[in-house]
Amino acid sequence: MTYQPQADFGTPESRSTEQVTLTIDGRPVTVPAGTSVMRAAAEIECSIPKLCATDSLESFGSCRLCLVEIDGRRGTPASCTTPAENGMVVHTQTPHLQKLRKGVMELYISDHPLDCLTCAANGDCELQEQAGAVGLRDVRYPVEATHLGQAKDQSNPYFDFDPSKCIACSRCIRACDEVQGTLALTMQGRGFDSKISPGLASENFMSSECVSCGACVQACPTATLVEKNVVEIGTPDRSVVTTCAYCGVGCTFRAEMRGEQLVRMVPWKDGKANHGHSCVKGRFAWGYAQHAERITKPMIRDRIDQPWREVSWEEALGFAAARFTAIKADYGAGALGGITSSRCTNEETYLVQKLVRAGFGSNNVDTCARVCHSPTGYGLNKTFGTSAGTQDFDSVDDSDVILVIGANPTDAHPVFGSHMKRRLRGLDGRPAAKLIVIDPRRTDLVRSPHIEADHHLALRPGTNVAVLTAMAHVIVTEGLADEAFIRERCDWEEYQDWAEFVSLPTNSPENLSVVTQVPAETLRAAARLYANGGNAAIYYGLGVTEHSQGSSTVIAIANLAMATGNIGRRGVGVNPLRGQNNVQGSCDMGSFPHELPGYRHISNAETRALFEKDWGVTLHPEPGLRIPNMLDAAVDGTFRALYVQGEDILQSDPNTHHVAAGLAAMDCVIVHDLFLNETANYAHVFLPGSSFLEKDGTFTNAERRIQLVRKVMTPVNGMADWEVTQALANAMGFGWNYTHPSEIMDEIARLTPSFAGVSFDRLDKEGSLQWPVNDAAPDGSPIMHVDGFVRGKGKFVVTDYIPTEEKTGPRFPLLLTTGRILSQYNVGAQTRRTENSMWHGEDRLEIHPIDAEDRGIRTDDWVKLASRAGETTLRALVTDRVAPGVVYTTFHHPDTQANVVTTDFSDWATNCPEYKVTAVQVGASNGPTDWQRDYDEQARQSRRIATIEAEAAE
Amino acid sequence: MSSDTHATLIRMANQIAQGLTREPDPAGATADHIRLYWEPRMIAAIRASGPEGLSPVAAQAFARLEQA
Repeated sequence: MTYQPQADFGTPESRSTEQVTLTIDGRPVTVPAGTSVMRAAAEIECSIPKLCATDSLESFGSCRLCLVEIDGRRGTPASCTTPAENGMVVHTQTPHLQKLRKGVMELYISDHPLDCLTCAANGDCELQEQAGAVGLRDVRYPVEATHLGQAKDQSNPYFDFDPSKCIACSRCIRACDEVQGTLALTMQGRGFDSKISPGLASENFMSSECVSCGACVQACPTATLVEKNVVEIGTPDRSVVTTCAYCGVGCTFRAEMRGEQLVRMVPWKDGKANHGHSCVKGRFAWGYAQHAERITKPMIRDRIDQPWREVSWEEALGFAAARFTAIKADYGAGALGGITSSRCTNEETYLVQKLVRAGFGSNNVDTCARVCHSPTGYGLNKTFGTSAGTQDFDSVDDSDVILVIGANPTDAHPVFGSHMKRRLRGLDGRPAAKLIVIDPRRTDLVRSPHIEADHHLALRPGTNVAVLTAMAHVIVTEGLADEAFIRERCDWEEYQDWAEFVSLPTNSPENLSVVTQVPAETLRAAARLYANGGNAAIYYGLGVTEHSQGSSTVIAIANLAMATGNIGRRGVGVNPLRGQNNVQGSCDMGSFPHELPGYRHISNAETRALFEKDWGVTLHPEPGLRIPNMLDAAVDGTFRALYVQGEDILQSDPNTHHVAAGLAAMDCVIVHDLFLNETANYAHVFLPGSSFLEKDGTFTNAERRIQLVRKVMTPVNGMADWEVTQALANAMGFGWNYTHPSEIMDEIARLTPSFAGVSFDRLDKEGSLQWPVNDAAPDGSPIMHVDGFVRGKGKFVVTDYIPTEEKTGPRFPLLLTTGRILSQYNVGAQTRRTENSMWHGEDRLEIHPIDAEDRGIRTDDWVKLASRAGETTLRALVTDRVAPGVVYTTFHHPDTQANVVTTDFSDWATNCPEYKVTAVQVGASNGPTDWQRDYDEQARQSRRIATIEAEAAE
Repeated sequence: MSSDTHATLIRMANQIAQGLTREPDPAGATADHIRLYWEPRMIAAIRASGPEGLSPVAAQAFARLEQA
């Protein structure tokens, strides 16, 4: 077998429902109206030669290779730009066409190197293929003026740019424009001087605005833009479709392999979440899976001040099981708990919560979603009756107004960010959607090439509820509410109570602008646009949830959507953008201490009986401890043993001092991870984990889409994560015998009504399914609440703005808010171990020029960032992206430890920490704080692994 | 129980009561919320320490939890 790329139909699919029938080379073909002749031909496996066309891009008509003859028409039209019509008779191969194509091809090849045998694209080059297809045998032109012999641009860590091999087809420029929406590339010069340029002539790819999404590399028909891996390794020989393990968009990729070596990840065109697009993380930043720092052998130690000792799996599991069993005997089941990971598969998450509930005998299981989207679960469940986003991603294609609040999709959910930008630019030919951004910071969506928000509400951090209540005030008092929808779908009395509340003069934009700092007229205009602008969709992220009023904000969002009738069809809805690949799934799988899989409360005897029967145990009927409460209880001595799978609570949870104290107080901490992460500094047992490339399972993305993760290589640690959890369970004597993750999914489906119709077989056949998948929705549910709310009547809940207890004052006059950047991912455990660090090597503190000048701070200066909880140092970046009084940083690097500064204030309903608001002071600094130095030393000591020599000496 | 943990629990209870002020029966809603989401030893800790520091609504909620 040679390498097979995905089929390329040349031009995009037409969405028309009208069909046309034409004849191509004597064969009839029926296609949707608006389909190009080129695509129609490709549908019947007739490949018209082409170079500038590819089906991810609009047709361009520049290469003159795809010419055809059509009966009754003059000349030889380009098949890529000619729409198929009823009754059309097309000829793709005639002596005249052959001559024309050969002539065109001869010109191309006269200015192209003939080093095919040693070229990285050998065997995967469209120019090579088309030269063969048109029968080119000879090039008559003398080699005089050419564009050959130019220097390569190898500045990007993942791909090379060799301008000598460029055929000036503009596919890369168009991909950057149409697919990614960054518009970093342009064509400079004319004739032989034509050259693709990333920005100014003085810039290379790395210094340009290129975001390294890979769309240009994928679009390039030659070796001009080619992955460095392909240059080094060669072409792949097989591919496996799998799901990305980074953010909640859930892109699917073809993992293109040679043997067990991963050559490259290529976005899968049939992926329903990404439609063939990718970002720098999923496309390129997977090298961490083979990183030298990966721990592949189990390790144990008696005390955390000792070095680690490498042992066999048997010994490590035996050690862990003995300690957990002894702690349970001494202190009871309530002293044991576990943390599931939003990075692991549904099956693995399910097993960890099963181990805690059925094995340990407590409900002390929680997940990292506690610190991101737990308020989404509470708020949407309360108002709509289910804890999930209401739409699929493609729904945005039908939106007329997009409201983004507390989310930065172009950085944190880049592939969906690009999708949204296409709609905001009206690239589908329909009027562009309007955009409202509610964010304290000027994100790229507010203003970037070809994108400009109609309204940017640059609110003061912590005032989301006040802004949304003021918007509701405008909608109700100006008579913009959709009363027909409300009467039909919602509880009318509850609506009236809510309407009365939001209409109070105290809730007017004019009155609330004092706290929100949003000008009343801007807020009124935004509210009117949201209510009156047609289909309006809300997208939100952690800027909504990670507040003391996170749950109230989610409820306020749901109220707005119900009040304007923006629920239950395409183009509208409430859409939480999930941070990690499987946040949705980990919540679905019963990771929260109060509920079993499928969001069913542990106190429900009927649900409990279902699981008790299947698992053969008696379940504890009361909720368990959440992560912050586990840490409190640990300090108090009543919680003593924790199994942490794929989660780094020491770095990702707020108030690092408190987390460290809790972990240090425990008798046995098991960390199950790829790396010795920060939490492992406090662990007694380290169980090596497996990467997403090394296991089978499923992830569920932000649109409730369940997709298969497929194993492409043998786990270097010897076991997939579900096998490790099972081995731990069995070491404790629980007798599990799953032989494949599909059996775990079968158990989930058996016990969880919303997953009733899900199985690996079906996912394999259909690509993906969006839950609920059950008798009522046998093929899944792209849009929810279509005919009514899951809970029956939609519930309006009054949300009162309550200022956070975290207040600025003379000692801490600035508000710190935190966020993510495109190239890094969360605590950085993965991306810091890739070349992505070239884009972001350290966390920086963004500070407004006025605040910087007051303090004598310039860009690149070291500054001390101090709050009531602690202090750290990092370098400053002076920018007006943040408002005066607000500073911003990311939390990707452990040496910065931004969470030393964040407090343990949290959401009132769910304890989701208030990462987004911390009162701080910023001042000039000479270098690391004492805490940073101490921490560094402790981490260094704690990561020691005893060498073989040392063991021999004992 | 450390004084820190106790202070945290009191703050959580008061925050819940405040978050549910607009419910028709704030004390009942607060008691329900705590029953649904708090681990028993958290409830026991506040019971043991008495209502000191609790807001009136939160204190009333704990009184209802006692009766339950």
